[in-house]
Amino acid sequence: MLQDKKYPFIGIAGLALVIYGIAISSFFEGWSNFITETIYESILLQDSGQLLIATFAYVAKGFLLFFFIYFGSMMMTHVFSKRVSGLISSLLFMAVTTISIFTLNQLYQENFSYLSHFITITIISLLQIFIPKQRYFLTIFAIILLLVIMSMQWLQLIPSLSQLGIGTGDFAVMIKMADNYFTKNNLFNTLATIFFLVFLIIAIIFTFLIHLLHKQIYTLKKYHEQEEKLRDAQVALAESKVYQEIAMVVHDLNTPLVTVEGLLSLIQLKMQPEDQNQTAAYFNRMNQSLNRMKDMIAEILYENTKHPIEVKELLKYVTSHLCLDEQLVRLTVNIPPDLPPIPVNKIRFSRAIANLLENAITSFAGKAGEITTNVKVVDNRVSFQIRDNGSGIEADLLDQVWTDGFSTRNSSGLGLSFVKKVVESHAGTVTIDSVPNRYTIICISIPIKKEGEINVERDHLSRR
Amino acid sequence: MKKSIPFLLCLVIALIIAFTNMDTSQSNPMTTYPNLPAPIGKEKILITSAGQAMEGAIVYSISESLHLDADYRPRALDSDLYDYQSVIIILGYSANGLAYTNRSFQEELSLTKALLTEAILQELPIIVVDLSSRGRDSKHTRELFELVTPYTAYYIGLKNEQGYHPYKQDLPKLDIPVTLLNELDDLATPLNSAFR
Repeated sequence: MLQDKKYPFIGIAGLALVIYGIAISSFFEGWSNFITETIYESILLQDSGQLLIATFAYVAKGFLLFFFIYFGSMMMTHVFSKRVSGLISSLLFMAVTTISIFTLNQLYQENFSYLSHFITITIISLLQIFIPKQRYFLTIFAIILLLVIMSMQWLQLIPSLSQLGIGTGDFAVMIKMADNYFTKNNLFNTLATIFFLVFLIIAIIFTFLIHLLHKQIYTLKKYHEQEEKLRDAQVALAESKVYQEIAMVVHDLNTPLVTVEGLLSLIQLKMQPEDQNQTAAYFNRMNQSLNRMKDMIAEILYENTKHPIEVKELLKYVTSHLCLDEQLVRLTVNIPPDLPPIPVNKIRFSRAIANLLENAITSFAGKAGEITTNVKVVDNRVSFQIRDNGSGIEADLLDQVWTDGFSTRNSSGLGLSFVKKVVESHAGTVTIDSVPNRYTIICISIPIKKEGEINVERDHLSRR
Repeated sequence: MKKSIPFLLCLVIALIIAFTNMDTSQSNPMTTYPNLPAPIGKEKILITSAGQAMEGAIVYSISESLHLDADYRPRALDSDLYDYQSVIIILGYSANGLAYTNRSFQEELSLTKALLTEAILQELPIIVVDLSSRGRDSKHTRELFELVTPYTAYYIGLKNEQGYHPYKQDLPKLDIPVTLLNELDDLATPLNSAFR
């Protein structure tokens, strides 16, 4: 459908079209005189060919006049279609068109038939049910309206229907009277009926084709959505299996690590190196590395494993893994000197911060930009504010960015949902604010570790 | 179902209008054809219009086929009558016909009245041909009818399902010969009998 901000413009354009339609008879006085003159000539010269020329001119003039009125009325009422029900919108359309026809009759005394007007509205209302209320509604409506009005113009010229009050307009009466004189209405009873039916049938066929096409597109869209969902589920399943296998492999690393640790202790005992010599230093470094490896394995295996870490060290670890060599992005990190250490799962929290920075870098699409990371303490919590001046996110999409699978860049859509999970597992909060093409700010706030709290928390084996 | 309400509403209104327009009353038995005991007019004839309906051209074309000595001058004035012995006035208001002559309806009324007065002064018989079908049944045609009929020597109209139009009910009271035609083609006979 159309954007809300375009509606006032469409309404005003519709009103202008209706007014133009009503005033068109004044603008095309020469056209009316041509029709009158041609009908006179056809009678005086007994030339039915002239009458046909006058008829086509009449149909064309009537088509323009009524097209502007009906299409303008539809544009005007279309403005209200989002605010009021379809029924009220249709009744408004009926009211606007009827008032316009009444005004026409009062202004020009042409005696246009109200019955023909209501038949036109009946046909339009019926066909409109099958026109999809999509982006191209007004275009499709215009094409169908064109065919219906052409059909109705010919309906005015069927002499047999005059007794019902159809074709009471001045020109229609003139043409039918002339035809009565020439052919006792045989010509127009046949010709006008054929043209009326042809245009009406084309309008009906076109409407049903559009309806069928729309249904087909809708079905395909649904089918495509289901396919996407199925594919996502397959990917999630595959990822889950991969994570399970990684967890098992990492878990299995523990066994040779314990063996290495044990044997290293045994060798150290047998060699009894003196504290100051080179060998003792090597043993110390090997023990430290082993401990670090054990910590890393624990952090991977246990989601809730948290160790106090300096913010500076954490961000250094994150930024050292970012690839900024081919980017025109300037990354600034502001950390106050007196920040306390924060208890985090280093691997997972670093990944979360890295996801945010990578998103910011991607938003520049290779262009120059600036990313600023500010860290500060607010109410016993550490706040990470990541700000970029990239493409930003539309306001109506901000609520969806944390949803699994949501992406504006055709990516997996798992990055930000992972960030939210990790922050929440650290009893933290994450918020986002963005103005398209100006800025995006993401704030992560996590509590600072209290004195004496146990450093390491362990949970069951994590499985995604 | 809710979507169909506008369609059904329009359909009902259209049917009501169509039903109202259909007249099932019987034809008035007083219609006559032809009823002139003797010719009432002489040639040369001025065929003119009151309301500028294009039916005047049809009457002129029929008069030509009858070899009547006639001129078709839809915009004739009272000063043009000096050359004629009879006047045929074609009754019927046409908005576009009037626009073509650059006259307003009020001008048309006053010009017609002046023409009628002059014709009566010159003792010219006035024959009114009223081929107004339902399409011409407007308040302007009624005004013209009321203006012209008191001066009429012979009235030729179209018979339709309703017999007389409601505003033509007073025609018999005017004591003028009236011929109502079944169809347009029948016009030649009363027109001919008015002059021969």
